Amino acid sequence: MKLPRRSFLKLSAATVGAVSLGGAATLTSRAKAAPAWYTKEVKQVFQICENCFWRCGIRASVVGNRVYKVDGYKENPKSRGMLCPRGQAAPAQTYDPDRLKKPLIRIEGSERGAGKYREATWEEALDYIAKKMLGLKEQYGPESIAFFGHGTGDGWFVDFLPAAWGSPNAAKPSVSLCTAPREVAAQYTFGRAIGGHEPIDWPNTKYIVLIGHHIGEDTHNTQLQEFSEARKNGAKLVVVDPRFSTAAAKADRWLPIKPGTDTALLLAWIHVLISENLYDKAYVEKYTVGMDKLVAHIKPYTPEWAEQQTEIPAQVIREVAREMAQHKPKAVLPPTRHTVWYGNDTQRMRASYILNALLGNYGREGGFYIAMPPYLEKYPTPPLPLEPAAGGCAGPTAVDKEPEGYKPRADKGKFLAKTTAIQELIEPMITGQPYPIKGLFAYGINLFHAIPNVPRTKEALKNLELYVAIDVLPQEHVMWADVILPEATYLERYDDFVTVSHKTPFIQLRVPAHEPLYDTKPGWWIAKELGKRIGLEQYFPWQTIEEYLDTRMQSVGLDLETMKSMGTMVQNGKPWLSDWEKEGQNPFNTPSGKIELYSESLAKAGFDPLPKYEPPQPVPEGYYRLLYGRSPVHTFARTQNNPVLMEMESSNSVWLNAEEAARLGFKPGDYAYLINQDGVREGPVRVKITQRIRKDAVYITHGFGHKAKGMTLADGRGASDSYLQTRYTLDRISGGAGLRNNFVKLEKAPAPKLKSVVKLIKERRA
Amino acid sequence: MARLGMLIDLSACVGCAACAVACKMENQVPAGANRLWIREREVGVFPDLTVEFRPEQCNHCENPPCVPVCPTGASYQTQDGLVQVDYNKCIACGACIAACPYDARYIDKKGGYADKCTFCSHRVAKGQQPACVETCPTYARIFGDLDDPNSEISKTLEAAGRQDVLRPDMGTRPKVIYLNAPSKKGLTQEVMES
Amino acid sequence: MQLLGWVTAAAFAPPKAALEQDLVSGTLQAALAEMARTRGLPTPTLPQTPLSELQAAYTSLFISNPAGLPCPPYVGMALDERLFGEGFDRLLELYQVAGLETSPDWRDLPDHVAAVGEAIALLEGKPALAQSLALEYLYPWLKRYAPVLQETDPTGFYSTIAHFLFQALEVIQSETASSQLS
Repeated sequence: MKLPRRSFLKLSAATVGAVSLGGAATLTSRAKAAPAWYTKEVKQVFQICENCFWRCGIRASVVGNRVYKVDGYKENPKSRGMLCPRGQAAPAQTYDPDRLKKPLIRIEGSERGAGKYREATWEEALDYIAKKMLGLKEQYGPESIAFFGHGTGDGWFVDFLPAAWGSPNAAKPSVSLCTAPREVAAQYTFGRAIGGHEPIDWPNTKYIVLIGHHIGEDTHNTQLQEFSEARKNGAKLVVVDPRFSTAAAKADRWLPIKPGTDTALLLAWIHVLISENLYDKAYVEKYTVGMDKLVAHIKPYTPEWAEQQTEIPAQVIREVAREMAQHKPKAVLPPTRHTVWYGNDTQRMRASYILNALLGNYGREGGFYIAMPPYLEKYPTPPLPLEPAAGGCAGPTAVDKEPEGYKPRADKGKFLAKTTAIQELIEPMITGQPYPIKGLFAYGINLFHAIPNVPRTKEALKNLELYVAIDVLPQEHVMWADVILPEATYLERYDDFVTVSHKTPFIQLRVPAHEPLYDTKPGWWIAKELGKRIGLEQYFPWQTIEEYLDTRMQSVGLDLETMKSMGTMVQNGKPWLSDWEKEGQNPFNTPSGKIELYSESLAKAGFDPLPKYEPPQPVPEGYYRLLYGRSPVHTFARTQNNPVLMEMESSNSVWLNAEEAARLGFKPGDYAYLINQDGVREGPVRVKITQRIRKDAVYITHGFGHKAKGMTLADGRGASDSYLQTRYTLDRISGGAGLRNNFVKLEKAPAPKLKSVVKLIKERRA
Repeated sequence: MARLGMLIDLSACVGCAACAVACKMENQVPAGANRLWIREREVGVFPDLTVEFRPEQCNHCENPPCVPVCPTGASYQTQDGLVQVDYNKCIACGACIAACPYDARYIDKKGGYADKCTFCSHRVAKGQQPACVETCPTYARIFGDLDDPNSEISKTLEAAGRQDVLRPDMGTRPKVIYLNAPSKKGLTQEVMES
Repeated sequence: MQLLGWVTAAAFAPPKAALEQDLVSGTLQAALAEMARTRGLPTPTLPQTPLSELQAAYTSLFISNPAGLPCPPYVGMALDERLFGEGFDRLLELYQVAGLETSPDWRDLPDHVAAVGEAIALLEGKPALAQSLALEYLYPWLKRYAPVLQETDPTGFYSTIAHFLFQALEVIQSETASSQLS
């Protein structure tokens, strides 16, 4: 009979080899061990790790269509030849059989979250999205579509596309769910950002005070390296933490502070430096304003007063202050990163920066260096209607006005800082106030494991008319989308350059190691193809990504081919005050041109110009404060399907003080449910009975408790802190969502009936 | 000839497991098997605490109990002090696994042979460091020739304070040496549930 | 063997207008009938499922399923219990020996069941290779997943075809075995 043809394969012109079915026969006679990958033809490309937001420059070793190993390289100022466990394991994600493989469109009429999809071509999926977007623009305005995202491709979907489209509602979780308080406080104090690569001169510092900073569990590669260098160079370490963290295990002093009272401690330290005349007078005189007001303000904040708040002995508080002063200016309190704790966090960071300034360490060796961005021109495009403004936090000198004809961001007015706060953009999706948001792009961000109050997020999603998820794994929130676009993983794509503000600013390039598997596409391609369909073709004048990258590279006197052989381009920086002074320049972009100990701008806006102390919300009877943090082998909620990392740590556990455990009747090996103040229940999660935590708090690592059956390894293991964070306290200066006013009680739970990760891996995993 | 060994500084190690993961990837260690693992142990009572993070692997002993028990000669020692497995001779009888006091060996079920840390001899042959040493972000590991007084490992050991090995009572003369054990009593011998 | 290959390719590729055409015109049913006659098997009856239902079922069986994907459509999964394993490598070698390669429009792995099916159909002139592909690569996948499809396919289309192909290959295998003995 005549058969219709499908052409998946074609006859190639290649010679037809000997027809002997060598396959099976050859195998049985060969040596036991399959030849190792490193004995084959290995190609290497420069890449950028995507398994956390540190984004180390790496080298990928490829054999055919598979990356077997990634490593740091010495010339890259982030990896410097070394790599953390998440980075080493990241390639396993590219070969994860659970990966998203094809564009999917939700079956018409099916419920969001029910997971009924049909496969689609890219053309069909993009046409569908474009049609809906244009319809929403017509009916509600371009601002009715929100763009959330995080990851190296977020430049396309959260910075560029919304600015071209005309929506101010573009947000990155790294702002209001992470760094907003420290960034805004830094802008209002130093007139400068802190930035993604914290500018601490670790190798030269002699006295380090970490507050809620769990280096060692937080394995940001360079920071961990330099922290280790500092200790090898004899730096003393003080760790302030309700938990005996890994960093505390390396410390000379551990201060087991009562959670939520850190500002009291900082104010008391400022008090000692001032009352005992230990601060750097010359530095304060030359570089700061507001000292006289600070001296008056600090009077009540004695160590004795602070002891009452923090449960740290006054004598210890004094000793540490004196030790700091002894080592100044090579004494530093690093700003940490995730600073959205209690809702008054900007003021806490202000206190920390004031203290650092009194130690005279900003812009000097052993303290904060002044980070500069690298020089690199953008690709020339017509001017964008809006400023891309989702990523950073501007200070008092920034202008906050929308161009004519465009609506303000939907959360404007809820807080002072001129940035979006992602959790404040959910409400408009439900209430339609101040105006309706009817569409959402979620690029890479995990909606249910990042934004607090998950029930509210789910309600919001149900109200949307268009929800597009661009991702690599079938995360729970992805399987709620109307259209799912599978992005190629980092090893399979180019991206825009990663530029790093630093002592020695640098530019990093990502080169694909092999073609994207399945029917996945790089983010830049998705953005361009979508742009063409929604009237934004003029903003994508480049034909190929290579052309885009090559043009940008030429602005610094190189080209793409050369950059492909280098991986990283390092430029000169201006790290020290002396570098600026020699050129007659001033690094402090504050209204006064100096470090503002006293902030006139905050006063004008109706906020405390000098930090005051606010006691934390008390812990309800029978409950514990829910604290959370990182595991060295996991990153947020993105690595719990990675077979290599899940073998290292397949679940989180809840840290419970041993005395409390005895009181509640928990024994080693027991499991518990965590039930929060609103009755939300998570777990079962294993109880880690330990001496390493205070009695008033429990602690779990973030990112577990997945409810996504499409992720074979991740599903159903451990407890989710995000699901338990139904409440948050809004920081009215930065827009940050303070997440540590959630409380849990523990109840005995049966051990979960889960297959071992190893068994699952062996059964059906790559 | 060289006498290759490894030094691990426990005051630097944070138990991040970068070494264990790098080893998994470099050597494609099968799921369920480990050539390298981390033990974590807390000692003391709140607030007077220490925590020991301790990586463990094959110690490439100078007096390895896994070699004499091997019936086929698959388990052997090299001139430069590595203990290795010849996969083609191995019959996976398991005698070496029972003999090793460090749980360092496993059976590679697919290949049908015993396996373990090789000190990344394939990398060392090219003048590179073992994968665990190269990746360590806390500078906790040093690898090199114990017989060369000018090697970094020898110089560090010379200047070091307390040095420990695992199960010194077994007479194996391990060549993985631990520095700066956090507890004054040395390495914690008991193992906490991980 | 060519028919077997074609039926496999037609059924297990993403369902589009072409498959709908094959169904409506009766071509696919006729192919099954001829295969049944040749192998001495009862002819299976294909349900007349609308295309949209086939698409939803195909996605939830072979591409993405929030409750966990029941039937990854890659022969490597049945051979090695993982992707990119040794069976995958051997299959690529076989394609090379046979002078076949995947076209750039094929946006999936080369060991996808539909691709293997087409390879079998294309190797009409090299029966030994076609047979090897069918018995050593396609058959293990059908053996493992045809029963799973019985449990999970809401339409009956995929489960019927998979079961029938499995039966056909069993017949071929026993014929091969007995011819080797004689």
